[in-house]
Amino acid sequence: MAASNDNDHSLISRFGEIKQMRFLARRLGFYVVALFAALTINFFIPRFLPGNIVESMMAKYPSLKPSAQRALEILFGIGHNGSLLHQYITYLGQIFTGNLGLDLLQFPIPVIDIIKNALPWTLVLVGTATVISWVLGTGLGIIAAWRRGGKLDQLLPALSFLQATPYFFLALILVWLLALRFHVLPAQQGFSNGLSIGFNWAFILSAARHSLLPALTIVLTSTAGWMLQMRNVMITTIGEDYVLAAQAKGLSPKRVVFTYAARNAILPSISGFALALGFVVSGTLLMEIVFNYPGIGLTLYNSVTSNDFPLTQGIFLIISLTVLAANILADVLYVIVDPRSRTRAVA
Amino acid sequence: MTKETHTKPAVSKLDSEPIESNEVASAAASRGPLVMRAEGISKDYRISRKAEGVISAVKNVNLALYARGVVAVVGESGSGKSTIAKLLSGHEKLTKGKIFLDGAEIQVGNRSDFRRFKSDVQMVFQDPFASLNPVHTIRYHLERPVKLHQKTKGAEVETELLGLINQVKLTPPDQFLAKYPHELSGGQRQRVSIARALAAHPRVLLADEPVSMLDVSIRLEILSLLDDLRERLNLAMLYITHDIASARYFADEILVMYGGEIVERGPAEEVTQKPLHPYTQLLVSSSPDPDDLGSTLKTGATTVARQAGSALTNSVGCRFSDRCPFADDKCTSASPPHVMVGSNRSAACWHLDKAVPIIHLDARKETVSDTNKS
Amino acid sequence: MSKVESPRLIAQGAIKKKKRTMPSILMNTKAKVGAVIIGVFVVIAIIGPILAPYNPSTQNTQANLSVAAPSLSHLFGTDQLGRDVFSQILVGTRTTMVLGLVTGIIATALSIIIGVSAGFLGGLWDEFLSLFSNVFLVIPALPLLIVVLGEFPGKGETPTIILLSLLGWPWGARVIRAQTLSLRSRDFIAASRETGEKTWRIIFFEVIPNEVSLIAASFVGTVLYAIGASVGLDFLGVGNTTIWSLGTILYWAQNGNALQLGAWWWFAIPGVFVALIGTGLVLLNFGLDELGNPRLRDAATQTRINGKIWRPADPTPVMRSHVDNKGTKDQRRSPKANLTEDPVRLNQVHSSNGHLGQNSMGSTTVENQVRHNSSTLSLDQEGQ
Repeated sequence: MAASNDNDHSLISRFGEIKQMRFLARRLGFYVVALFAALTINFFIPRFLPGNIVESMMAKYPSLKPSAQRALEILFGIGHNGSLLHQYITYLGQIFTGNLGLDLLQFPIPVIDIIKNALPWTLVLVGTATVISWVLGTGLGIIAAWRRGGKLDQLLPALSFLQATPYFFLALILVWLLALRFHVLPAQQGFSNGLSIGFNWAFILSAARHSLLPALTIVLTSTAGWMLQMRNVMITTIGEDYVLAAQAKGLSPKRVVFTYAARNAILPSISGFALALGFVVSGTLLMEIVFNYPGIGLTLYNSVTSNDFPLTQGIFLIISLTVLAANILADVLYVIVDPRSRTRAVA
Repeated sequence: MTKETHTKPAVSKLDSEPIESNEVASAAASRGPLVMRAEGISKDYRISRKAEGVISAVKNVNLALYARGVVAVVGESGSGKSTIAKLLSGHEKLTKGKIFLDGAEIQVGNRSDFRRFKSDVQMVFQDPFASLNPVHTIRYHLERPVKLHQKTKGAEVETELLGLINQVKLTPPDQFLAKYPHELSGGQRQRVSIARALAAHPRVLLADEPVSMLDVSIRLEILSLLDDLRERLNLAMLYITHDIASARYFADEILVMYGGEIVERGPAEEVTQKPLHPYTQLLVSSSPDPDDLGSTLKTGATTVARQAGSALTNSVGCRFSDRCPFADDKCTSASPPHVMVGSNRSAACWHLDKAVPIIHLDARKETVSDTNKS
Repeated sequence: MSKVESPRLIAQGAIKKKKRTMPSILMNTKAKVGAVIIGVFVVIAIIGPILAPYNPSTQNTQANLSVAAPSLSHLFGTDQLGRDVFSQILVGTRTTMVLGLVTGIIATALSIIIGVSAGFLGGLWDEFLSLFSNVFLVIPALPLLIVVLGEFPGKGETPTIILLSLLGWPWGARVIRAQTLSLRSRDFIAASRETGEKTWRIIFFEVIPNEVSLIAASFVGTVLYAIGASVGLDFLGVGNTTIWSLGTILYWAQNGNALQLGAWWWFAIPGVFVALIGTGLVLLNFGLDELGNPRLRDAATQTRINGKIWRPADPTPVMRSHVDNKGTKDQRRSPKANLTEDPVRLNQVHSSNGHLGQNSMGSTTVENQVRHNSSTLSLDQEGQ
């Protein structure tokens, strides 16, 4: 009988492993599908839009040489290049070799180079601001839940207001107040004109100054959101019986709040954070427009308004990929942090 | 049984051939005609793709329900007793075996078949708090089955509702009909659940641990109510519980389940007074006896919860062997068949001759010497 | 019932507590305020255009009327082309509100249909739907909207509504699906099957009524999303700039250099209007949250022990015997007062929705998380 018991144990734990692997495999499968969906949408957009893209572009930019037409046609697979399926496969092949085509407005600079120039601006600014607001918001949320009825609770209406405000509007207000009325911070752009990009001190300082207002906008609006979410989850968690048990054990309040309650309550926030990172790239478009900040959002906007299609397509793709990557990160984090998701019982 | 069988090993019939337990006549048979019968039913759950990755929740169970009779299935958590209820009520599909209602085999193919089956066989759920929908009034809960099964309209529905409420003794009826579940106590909710089951005018009532989640002082009331209903409405009842003491009070026949199999069956009084199988003895001795608080210590079987015997289908041997004080190699290598002891009793154990005399609640003084015998 | 009174019962008698007897949304302050705000804006949306003193598009190119500060004849001033900002706002509010409402209705309807059927019917249908909605969640919405809408100028608000609905249903569907999954395994659903109910009846009459507060919160959240997205899009000038909406006003303000001109009335007022609408919705959602999850209810229901607020994470007050100056016990103190100092759990209504990760944490929080970042997270995890 003992041997049989061992078999049971190993079978059940193997079973847990099998379920876990299947779970991860399924997630991976989903991401592959989503990736292809993004690529396919990207492929079809120019084909759904009215008019022949290539010809209207050629007409719009008379400076383009005939070779550009060929290049465009290759990029879009329009016209002479065989069946739709063939074009799709060619397109995929191009994507996987990193060939996103050539930009129109600044022909013949490859799209990918333009993206490479713009992306760091967004990533650094928005990434840092997101991290700051997450840490701040989550921390404040924990405290607000702990000290219910205290001072922080009185801020709730104000925080709701901040959260509900469209963040570009807040940006407008901040620019008006701090830059134009009171001339404290620069209103526009990533760095002062006349400076060259590079690791020189003047540039870095200027860039830092210019990033303060945008960062402030992000922090103000996002912190409120994180804080409210964390607060709500914490309050629910504090009401659970295991927190009561921890208190009954005589643990210090700090330990109860952080090790027991917050540890559980933070789970949705962590996955939310990973996903927020994904939206770093796409979500700050409006803000970059207000500040004329040379990030990828502004680049996208400009490319759309000037019908610079290869660039639009390329950026859209990059954004999709970033979001997907962030989702994978979120899933991985969730599995690491939440033990329940690691071994799933018979469902 | 005579006194003689107390002191001698009560298994003089061991010499006869072991029999399949469906040949054992049910103690409830005297109550009325046979209504529902389960023959060799099994339920397997597959947990892995391997050949041996199957768990038998229920294995080869035979039981029979007679009008006005109560059959109790007693076992611990995980013994498969709730699964039996689900199988008999049609919520789960049988892996093996057949179920007969009035002699005809049940095939639940489509929804109207199921509906007709439900008109005859109804289940009362265990959790009075969860089995009622919090957003609906009691009236709604009772109206639905009345309308579905009785096909009555208008004023007749009202009469029917009042009749049901009165049957389960919730008075005043109008007040209760208008209430929501959260406004009722556990006992009242369970009465509503029973009323809901009765609305279909069933002939079989499957009670899955109906009083386990109620306060102890209310349990008796609900069991009395069920008893009363059984009598008046000629219901055949299946009473599932983990509490063998209440089964003794309430049931005609007790089936003791362990690890998905029936290990002992017989008249309620006899099974509880003179348990044959070591597991039954464990159950009986674990029941608190205010007259003798030390009785729980006398049993040789372990009361510590250990990993139950392998539940996998293909495992051989008696499932109780790792908790049994009498287990030996024979027990781990072959599964014991049922041995008939009397016309309506049987137990599945290789060593009934050793096991029997350990605890006899009314013959304690005599059995001390018997213990030393083995 | 046990005869021995537990300390908790004694404590409850001695502790002063504001009891909420009727947890209706009307009693909840946050929800009240939110509802009032939204109510005001609904009224404005309905009668606004009638009240508008001028046609918002009428231009007055006289110099003194261009970018004029608020005055009696132009309550909110004028814009660069001399158009009355007040009228623009009155007319624009209706456009924005209607758009938000219609999108909310369509998207919520979609998410109910998809979420409930995926949660309840399960199996392959569920897999397919979750894949479908996950893909939608992952696609970056704003860029897609810009790209696509940019190609459909001049068709009014309809393309916007359609696209926003199509992109907006996955959040709600996810949450509703999770809730449905947890409901499905509840006993009363099995009991209604036992009664013999048909599946569609179970879905509509047993499952969905239990999800009403969730659906309401999801609806409010979707409206919030729709308004925010449409204002953003209009601000960019994507879509139709001839139709007046609150975002369009901001678009003209940005293009007319309102900031540099210091014309605060031009950009601040419309923006504040949008923010107020949003705040109203957020507060309303809070209220709905608290309805569904009693633990979140107001601080007004807190325990006060001997006058001090006792907070859940505070250390346990210990019973003391009161010693007066002479060192003898003061026996005139009622022993009950001492017994009150034990942690009493307020609002211990255990929502049967179970544990974290599901809807016991309130739909707003889930909505927030999902809105903030689209969560592709395990539809399968939420069901357990």
